[in-house]
Amino acid sequence: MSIDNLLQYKYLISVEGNDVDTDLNWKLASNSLVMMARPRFSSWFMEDMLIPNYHYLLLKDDFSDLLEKIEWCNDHQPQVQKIIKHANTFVEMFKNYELEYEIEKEVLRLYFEKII
Amino acid sequence: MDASNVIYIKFDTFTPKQRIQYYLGPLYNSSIVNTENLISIQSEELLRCEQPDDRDKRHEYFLKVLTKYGFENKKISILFGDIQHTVSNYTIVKNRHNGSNSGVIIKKLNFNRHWQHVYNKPFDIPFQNKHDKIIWRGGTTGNINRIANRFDLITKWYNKNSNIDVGFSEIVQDQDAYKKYIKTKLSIDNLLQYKYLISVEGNDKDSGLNWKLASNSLVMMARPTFRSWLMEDMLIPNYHYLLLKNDFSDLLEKLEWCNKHPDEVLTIIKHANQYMEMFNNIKQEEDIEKKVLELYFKKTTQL
Repeated sequence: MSIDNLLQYKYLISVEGNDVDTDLNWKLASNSLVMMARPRFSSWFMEDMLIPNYHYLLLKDDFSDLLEKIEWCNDHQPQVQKIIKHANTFVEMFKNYELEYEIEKEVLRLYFEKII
Repeated sequence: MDASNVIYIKFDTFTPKQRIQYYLGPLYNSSIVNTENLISIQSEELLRCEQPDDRDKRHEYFLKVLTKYGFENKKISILFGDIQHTVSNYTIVKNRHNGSNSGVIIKKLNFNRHWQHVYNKPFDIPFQNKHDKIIWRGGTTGNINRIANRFDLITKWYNKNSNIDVGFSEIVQDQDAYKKYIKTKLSIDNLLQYKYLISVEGNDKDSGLNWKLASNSLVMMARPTFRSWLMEDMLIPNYHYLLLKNDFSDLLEKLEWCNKHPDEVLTIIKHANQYMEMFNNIKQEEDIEKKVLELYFKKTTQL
């Protein structure tokens, strides 16, 4: 399925593989809701800063509550839309290319400073 | 933070089975482990772990726990102190540190320190009768390189605002440079006179977090990095506690938000209390702990 196809759906699951779900970034930037368990890995995207049920809909680690959560979503569309909005706002942070470049440069500068 | 942005979705508590899986960590899904490194709880090597100054008598206490469950003759791998590094999948610990999911978590390794004030509740008063102030006291544990550490909190907010009353209650672990940040030590009953309690990690988890979440006051904290029997990483920010930034720069802003939104604050306190109810049934807690140990001995081919 292409990303365009996936985006035909209201609810997108994100689940980690070897490390971070590489698709999480565009999913959170989309008009669909991200459903996932608490991320265990963290990258440039600062996954551990995402707040459950605020930036994404929290699933149990064993996914046993998936059906229940879909029902909740279908009954609470305004709240789902709010969560999507919060997710989009989170992704906004990374959109300024110039700023991203500055941050990366500063990280590397400090890295080299620390290792002398 | 905008109050209308707080989203409350009913938090589902965990079933005993899910908790057992959590406490076992990666060992739950792993195959049988090599048992060569395991030793008897009654071995000389472990008896030496009982420091004469260990007021919690962790070794003695844990031997009693194992005896109660009938496991006193089994072999284990165990670490008694605050865990600040990665351990093996089959090491019994009281906590896991940041970034590591390994280690089998047991409740009764430092039971009194973490749980006595949950089961023997301190004297608490209704939220409405408390001072509209933030309070924190604690020792100089941890270090300045930790995420959201005590030293950052105190150097940033000591005597800065009359509604933010934070200071070290004692100097420990050679942190004499922080003597100027000492404030009067307060009892739990005293701390509970305040609406807003900060929780901040030291060497490992904040041992007061458990009773704070069970109280009529609001817990304010950065994301916890240590995990214990309390399952800290399962707490949801702004649902079970009010989230602070890792550098505590938003403390005053959050205090103002709280004073303007008492209903939301009360809801968060209610959620925290509900979370703690998960641990209220002592019989069930022991069943879970026994089951964790049982699976531990099964994975190490001792059962």
